[in-house]
Amino acid sequence: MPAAFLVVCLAFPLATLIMRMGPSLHVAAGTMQVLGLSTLQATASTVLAVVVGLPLASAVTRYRFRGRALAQALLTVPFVMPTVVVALAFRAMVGSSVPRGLVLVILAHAFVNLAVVVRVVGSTWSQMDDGYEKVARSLGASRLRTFVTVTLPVLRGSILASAAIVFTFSFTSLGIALLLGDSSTRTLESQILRQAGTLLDFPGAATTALLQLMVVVAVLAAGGLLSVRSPRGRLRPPVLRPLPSPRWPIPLVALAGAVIVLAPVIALLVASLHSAHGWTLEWWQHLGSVDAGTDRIGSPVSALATSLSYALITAVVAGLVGGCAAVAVLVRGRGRVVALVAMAPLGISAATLGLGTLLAYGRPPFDLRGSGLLVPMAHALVAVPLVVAVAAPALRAADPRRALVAASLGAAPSRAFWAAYGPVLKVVSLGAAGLAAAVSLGEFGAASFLARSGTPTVPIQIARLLSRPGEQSYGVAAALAVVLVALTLSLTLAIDRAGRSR
Amino acid sequence: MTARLAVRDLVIGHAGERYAGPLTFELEPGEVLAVVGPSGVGKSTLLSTILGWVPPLDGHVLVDGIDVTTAPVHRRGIGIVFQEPLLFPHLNVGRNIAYGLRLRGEPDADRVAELLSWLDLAGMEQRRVDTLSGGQAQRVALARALAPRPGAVLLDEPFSALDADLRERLARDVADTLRRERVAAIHVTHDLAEARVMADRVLTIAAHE
Repeated sequence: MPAAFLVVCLAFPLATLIMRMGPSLHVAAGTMQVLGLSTLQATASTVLAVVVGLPLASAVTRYRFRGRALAQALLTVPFVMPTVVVALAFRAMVGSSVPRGLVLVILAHAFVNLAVVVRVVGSTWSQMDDGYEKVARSLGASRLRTFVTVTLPVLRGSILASAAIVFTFSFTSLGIALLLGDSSTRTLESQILRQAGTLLDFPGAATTALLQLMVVVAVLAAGGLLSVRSPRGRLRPPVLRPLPSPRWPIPLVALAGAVIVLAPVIALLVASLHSAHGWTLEWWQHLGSVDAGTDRIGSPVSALATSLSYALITAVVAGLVGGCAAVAVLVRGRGRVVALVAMAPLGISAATLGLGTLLAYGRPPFDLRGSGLLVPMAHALVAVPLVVAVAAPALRAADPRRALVAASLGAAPSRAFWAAYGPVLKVVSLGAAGLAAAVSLGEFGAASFLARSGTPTVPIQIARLLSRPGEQSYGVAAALAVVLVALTLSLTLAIDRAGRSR
Repeated sequence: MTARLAVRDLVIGHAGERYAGPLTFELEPGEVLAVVGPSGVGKSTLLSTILGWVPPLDGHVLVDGIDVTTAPVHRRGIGIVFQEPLLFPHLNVGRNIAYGLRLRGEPDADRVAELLSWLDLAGMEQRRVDTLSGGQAQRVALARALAPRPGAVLLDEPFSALDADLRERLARDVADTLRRERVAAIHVTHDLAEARVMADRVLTIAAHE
């Protein structure tokens, strides 16, 4: 089943995309300029995310203090916030004091990706033996010197790994680049959308998509290679250490992290409850109404219904396909290859997937535009690698000897398999399906190609509202964004709880 | 003669809980004190306190007659070797040993070669640390601690991860090197035989109530 899904939803659209490029590979001059600009932007976003993320990673993963777990949980919030919502929250937070452009885009990218740095680097740092620091200090190195000459080199592998991921996310950004940026912050992703959506230059868009794919694969491969080649220090099981003296800096860093995360979210909430005349519930009341300035682009509540139905389909499809691919990991040979191929969409941007799907299934002989299936198809593709990433390790950790015990007691192979993996599979597939739903709810890139004008998803609806002038559009967009954040967070918390109870 | 390391009325513990003390002793140049006692009695905390990583509940630590009780770790002139060698993975053998010397801007090549030859590792400057055997790595860790000529070194069960054979030979070599370098040492160990090979005196810490 995963193989069939990948052929239909990934291989065919990508093949169509490549065929549409035509015989000559022509990269527009403007595209090369965008490549340069987005490389610069992504580099700056990565540096900022790492510089801010490192102290936060140290504070919330290494030391024991009151409020640590809460600060750690809060720091993952930006990553699960849909990018369109992040963009809106940043606009609400800075108002008109910071104009749209490079600075705002870099700040928002660093904000979203803090969780990547905190998780990836924090995981290694919390396991790094304290002895390295003690030895360096005893040899005469100050705290700063110890950090630069010992801690950083030992963490180099995980810093590089996280930096490669942050760079990729910032480089292929669409929602944030569109809503917070100006002409200096165009990304190849937005270029693909522009070429295909506005200029109807499909060969050009396909070439840009391929160029972006090559850069992303090169960066991820280089990051992986450098990370593997980096020296590894001795790791031990993570233990939370008591606060060193003076005790206040580390909780203060964690508090700063919490403020960084909460400020845009609170600004968003305020924007949904505030108008030029003071506090109001007006924007929330407009969520359900078709008129009130939103008539031409459909009601926010119907967008919510569309998004929820897409999320449900995505959850079922990605849960099934990803679950099967994860089971395939347990089987030697071809199974592993399928699982590996199922991870491929991770390196392919959402707009590329959207464009490929549109080219393959948006016109005869396979015209599925009216079916409402294109968006969930692309979303499932985006979500499958995540489902595999969650489910495969959990399945691998289950004890296969249970199957042998069951078989020795007379169970048929399928029954014996279920005895070993069934309980894990049930919990993990629920969690993974929830994750897929969360991805679908916030996804913007593929949906901007595939969502039909009459039935937009919530992120598309928010972007459309924001492109309209007027306080009302902005207020309703903020209220809709708050609903989306609440939905995404509830799903994420439920997944987290399911994971813990396992 | 001034003691290289002196501990006066030192009370060790953490977060107000007292583990052991008051402890008082002095170590002459090249003298090795073995510290033995059951697990959890605070032997490693004693080392961490003398090193300056954990503040004492009371008492003083002096290196070469200077009170370093409130000095930060990097200004005490006390080296440390752990059970695991914890060699810096991004530096080769020579650079690991030279780490402390370079921080002080002192020339390092001759000193590194000297220590390597004393510890039967001559010519290994360029070796990557992940290619060393357990015994070699532990010798490099000791050379690294001794290179900046500290007043004292703290040995926190440095041989316990090694084979019995190797352990005894290494203990003897290390004791010789410490005496040659005239460095005072505190050696925490579970192994009384090892303590006898290395130490001039033995301090036993009893389990606290």
